[in-house]
Amino acid sequence: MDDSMQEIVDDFIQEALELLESLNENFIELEKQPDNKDILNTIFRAAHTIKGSAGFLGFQNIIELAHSAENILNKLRQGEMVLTAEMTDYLLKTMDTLKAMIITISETGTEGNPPIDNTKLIKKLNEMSEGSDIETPSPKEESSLSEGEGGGIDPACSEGQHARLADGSDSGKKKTKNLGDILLEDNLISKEELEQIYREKEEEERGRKGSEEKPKAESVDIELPPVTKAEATVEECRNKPSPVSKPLPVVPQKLAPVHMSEIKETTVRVGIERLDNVMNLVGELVLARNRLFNISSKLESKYADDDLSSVLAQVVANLSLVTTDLQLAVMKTRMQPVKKVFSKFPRMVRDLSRELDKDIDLQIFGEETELDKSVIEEIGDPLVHLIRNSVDHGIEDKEGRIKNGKPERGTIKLVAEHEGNYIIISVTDDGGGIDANIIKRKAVEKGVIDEKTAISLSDKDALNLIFTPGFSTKDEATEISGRGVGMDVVKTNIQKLNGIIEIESKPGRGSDIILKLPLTVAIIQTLIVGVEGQVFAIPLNSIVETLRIKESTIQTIDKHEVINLRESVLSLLRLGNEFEIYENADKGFSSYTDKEIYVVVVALAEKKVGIAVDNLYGQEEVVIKSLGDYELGYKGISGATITGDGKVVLIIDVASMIEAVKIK
Amino acid sequence: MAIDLSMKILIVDDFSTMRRIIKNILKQIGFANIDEAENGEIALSKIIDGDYDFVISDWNMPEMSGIELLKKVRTSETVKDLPFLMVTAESKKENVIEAVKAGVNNYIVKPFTAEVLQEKISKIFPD
Repeated sequence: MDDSMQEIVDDFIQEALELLESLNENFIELEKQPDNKDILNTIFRAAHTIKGSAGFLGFQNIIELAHSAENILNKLRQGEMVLTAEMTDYLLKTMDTLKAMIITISETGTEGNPPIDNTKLIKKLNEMSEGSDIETPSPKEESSLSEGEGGGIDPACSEGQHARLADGSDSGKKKTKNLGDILLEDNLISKEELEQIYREKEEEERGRKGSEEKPKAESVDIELPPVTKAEATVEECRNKPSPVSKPLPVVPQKLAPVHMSEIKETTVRVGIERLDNVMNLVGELVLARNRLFNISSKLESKYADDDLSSVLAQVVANLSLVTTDLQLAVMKTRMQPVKKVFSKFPRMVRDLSRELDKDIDLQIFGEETELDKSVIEEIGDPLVHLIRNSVDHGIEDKEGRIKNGKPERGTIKLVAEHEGNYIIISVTDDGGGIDANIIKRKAVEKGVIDEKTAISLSDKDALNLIFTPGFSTKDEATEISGRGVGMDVVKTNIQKLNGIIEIESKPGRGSDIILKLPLTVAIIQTLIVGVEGQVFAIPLNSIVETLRIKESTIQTIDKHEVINLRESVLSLLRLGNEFEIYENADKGFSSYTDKEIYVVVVALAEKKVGIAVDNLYGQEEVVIKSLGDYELGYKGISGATITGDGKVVLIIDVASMIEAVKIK
Repeated sequence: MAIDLSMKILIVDDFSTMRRIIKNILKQIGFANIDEAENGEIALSKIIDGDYDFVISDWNMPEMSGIELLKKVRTSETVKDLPFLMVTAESKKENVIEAVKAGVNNYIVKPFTAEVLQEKISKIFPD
């Protein structure tokens, strides 16, 4: 396969997948209004388009399957059949199979063997489409115009035809033939048929002009009045106006308004690797800018009298501004609407509720909200988990809901909205909710917490137990009428994105799970801190506050260092101990002096921890660089960056810091 | 039959893969001056401004179908004679009749090869 072919195949893969993805929504909408012709047309056209392009590329399996689907859809949109739930099931399955076939092509480069149940699927589709009108043979076989077919040509008229063409009926322009001429020339249509068609056309136009109420004659009966006299035929043939040159009567639709000429294609498709490259370069630029800024301000204080240093400072300030704008602009090019992820959920909820015999209405809000591409890619799986849980365990079955005095139809709301530099995505259901007491009991049984802790645990903290690894497997989750299916995985995924997950629930009233996600993951604001000369960066979005305390105010409970922060107890973690920087590992415990240290209070969800450090250097915007294949053996680091003064600085992973305190 | 390979051609199809495929085939034939439009509206504004010699349009498109586009072209004063090749998926008689009525110059059934396309075009532009 040459390069241009490969490009076309790549194009096909992407475009066809997008098209299929967008159909899910249409199917859901279609179930609500099964006779909506617009939706049926859209779905039909998709199958049609995919079949058409696959035809060029020689993907035989896709052609066959898409063709069968196209047949049913055509009958549906023509009103010859009525959509049933079974049909929807099979059509959806067809779309899934088409998707799988296309993915196979993208992975292997060839179509390979059709999926195992492909033949069965095609057979089923054909059965369904034929079920409605067995007597009607396929119109394609019946009346298609293929070469060599059609009525005989009348030599007389043929002559006349040529004569007319020779006249050059098209004023000025290069002479061209129209379809009528060509069909006639190729013996695909008889002169009589053609004349009949033109007559009908004129009648239609006259009719349209004359009275609007008159219904349009759509179909043409070719067998109508055959012309018998040869002379008459020739005459008619000569006089017959060329459809190309003949001025058509004024059609009600007016010509394009002026502004239309301004419509141009406004989008360009760009490969993601190019965008990633630009993003990476901007990252480097931000780092260089930071360094330059640093050097410039040092120079300015060192040579305060020198004009050059103040000019440099101005230039650097300007560069800094432009870099920030550039960074924002590049970030925007990577933003995609969450619709990309949300659009698969109506289908998922539909399938699941059919399976579980529940009646569920999924309401989606704010799907136009935009998020960085890398975040979009990562939130799909967690959201699938959350919505599955809501459908499976959250919403009660129909009888249960009626018994509880709720409407039979359950509601799940999926909402996305902006909040500063964050996107809030929430999944809310009006199902059975989660009983904190049952969670506590289960947690004790599983050994996640002990009895004593269980009693002192607030309801809110108890709910958060469902995020604990090993808290529950699927069976237990079902038993406790709550969630827990892989919730720890969900939480980990969200935290990887520097996001936060929270849960609220009222037994009997439903649950609300809230995800708070940063707009982007590549560039973050950090607080630069120092311990014994070593420098670290802590993500600013998880910092609540910073404190300056005397070491002597640290207390020890159960060998854990804590401080009293506005009458609540805050666990303390010494970065120096955590990373074994202190030469004397016990330093933290033995020498409570009057020395002042800094405490950075970080929080994830409801958990707060104080990180004790020696110095605070200030806030800096850093570009996260992955550590690649380095195995650190410790989870406390999420990446590295280069600061303004050229140092490589490790970025603290707040989530694992908080874990570390919990384990102790 | 010699076709004028310097013709300025507009391809109209809502599916970008199809536009690329047709463009590729046209290049194989030897055409070089090829433009694209992704829907009927854009196509119409391009046709009115663009001094095209030839249009290849898909029949089945959302919003404005190929036939609707053609009808608008045929009712315009300046571009009403623009040669128009319709790309379609099937050659049902009723469709062909509709195409004849609308003033299509020729039609071609998907999928097609460069040879077939060349033949269809040369039928429109006889010597």
